[in-house]
Amino acid sequence: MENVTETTPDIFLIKAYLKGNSKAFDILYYRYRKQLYGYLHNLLRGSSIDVDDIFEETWLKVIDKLPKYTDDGRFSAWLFRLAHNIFIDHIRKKRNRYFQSIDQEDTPELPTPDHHRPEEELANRELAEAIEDAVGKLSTEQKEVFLLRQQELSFKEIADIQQCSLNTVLSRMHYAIKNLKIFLAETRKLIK
Amino acid sequence: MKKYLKIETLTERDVPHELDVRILAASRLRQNSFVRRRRKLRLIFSSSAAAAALFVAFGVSTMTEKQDFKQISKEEYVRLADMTDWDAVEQESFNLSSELSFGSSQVTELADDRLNIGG
Repeated sequence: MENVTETTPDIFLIKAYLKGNSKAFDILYYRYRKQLYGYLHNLLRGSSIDVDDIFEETWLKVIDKLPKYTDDGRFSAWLFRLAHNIFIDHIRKKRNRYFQSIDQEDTPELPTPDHHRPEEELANRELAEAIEDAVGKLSTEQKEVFLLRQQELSFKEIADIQQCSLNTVLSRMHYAIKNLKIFLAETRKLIK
Repeated sequence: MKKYLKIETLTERDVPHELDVRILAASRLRQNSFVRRRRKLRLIFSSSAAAAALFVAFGVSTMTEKQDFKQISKEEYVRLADMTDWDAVEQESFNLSSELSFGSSQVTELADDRLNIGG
């Protein structure tokens, strides 16, 4: 049986797994699980769709499709594409009103101050949490582009996942950053 | 790629242990079916190759039977085996050629006699 290690490339791990090396899949799984979970957690923030469900469904689909996996792109891009498709399926099934329409590109509304939350809590919130909150307020498409860029996917890979043009992806990223600046500025005002 | 702020909590998050357990268990279960399918395919291919080889061999042997090759009998085989003694073959051919030359000289003499008689 082929020997696999932590540094074995993804494609060789997949081949070894298909030949019967169970350790190969473990390495592959541990290599990407936190990234995928973090991505889904932030993508589904505030949604009724369960992160664990989509996460598990994505990996089960990965296992199912591994025999047909072709090494014509990065495994991470393929993984996030599967997650995206499952996420879209869930949205269509649930028709959650919290999310805006998939086809819309409109700028989300500016957040209104939460009068129930004391200013002391806002003041104590760390920058990362503030950014997470801000990201959660973006539209689905902008959020997805921003989060996938955080995962170091190229714009071309993101366009492939979202099945849109490169220009559309770039535009979504532009508006995502613009809106994040607005949200964070509002958060700073609230803290002050 | 432009460098910009990368937020760790946006890129990574700890996964609940029970999820890890379920997913890894599913991968092992599915792997058994992948390995079984590979073995089955390999068996089918090797059986097909063996069957094809048998078929070709049978076909060749059948074709050779159809041609009228005389089966060599045991006695003939023994005689032919003896003939591989080249000294014996040489002797036999010498004897044969001697007979032929004696015979032809006799014919010549007879022809000369007839000519003389006819004279």
